[in-house]
Amino acid sequence: MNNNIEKTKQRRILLVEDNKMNQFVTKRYIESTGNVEVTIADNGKIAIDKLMERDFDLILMDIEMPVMNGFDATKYIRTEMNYSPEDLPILAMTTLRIDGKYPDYGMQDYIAKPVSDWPTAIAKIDACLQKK
Amino acid sequence: MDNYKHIDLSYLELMSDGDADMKGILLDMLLTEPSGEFEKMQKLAAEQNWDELKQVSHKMKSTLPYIGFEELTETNKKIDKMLWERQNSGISEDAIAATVPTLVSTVSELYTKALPELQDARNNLMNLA
Repeated sequence: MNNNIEKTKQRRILLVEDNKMNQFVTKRYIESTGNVEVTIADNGKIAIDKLMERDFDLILMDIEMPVMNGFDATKYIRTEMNYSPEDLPILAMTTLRIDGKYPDYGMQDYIAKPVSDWPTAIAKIDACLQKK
Repeated sequence: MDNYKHIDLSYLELMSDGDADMKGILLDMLLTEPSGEFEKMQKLAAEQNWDELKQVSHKMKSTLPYIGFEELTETNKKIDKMLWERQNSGISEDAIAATVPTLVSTVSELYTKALPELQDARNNLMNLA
């Protein structure tokens, strides 16, 4: 597995995803790459609740989810919780083709699902973490 | 892994990166999780609850590549696409009602065909351990 995420500092990633298989595979891949802890939220509402309890370094956000979708959750995090992209980068992780449109939704990058190229996905995550 | 008539576990192999434990966990998930989701899809189609049906169908889009049964993957994609068009480009409710329930039944039937092969792959993995 790829080993790109810098190890000097513990990083906390919030994975917002309703699909159990994606939760399992994504958490396992990312945690295998470095000093990273992945917390899972099943939808945008749960993500916001978790964000109220503790800080995270980055969010991986699915878009189509029950209860609260990824666009609405991101909007809430940016406008109601006042997290800037510098404080808390959000990467869309979706089967929707939103290439080029993610900045319109307050997101910093985009990972297409199903993920077939984990090294590239990990590099995107690491690039966002390095900017913090 | 073995060659099967319906399923192709190449993507599962890729994602498990040669880790037998991970393969086993993924196969166990494929043997259990989709049945509940497909039952839910049948119920939602019968109720013509298209919004919730779209959410479940969309969710299954990223599970089905692990099974690697092209007809199953493509049929589910058709459901997701039609229901997206209903929300975004005004495809008629009649067209949805005439087409989507049949497609939902088809995905359940196709999954039933995949199940014995998934079980066989799981058994083979256990025998190797």
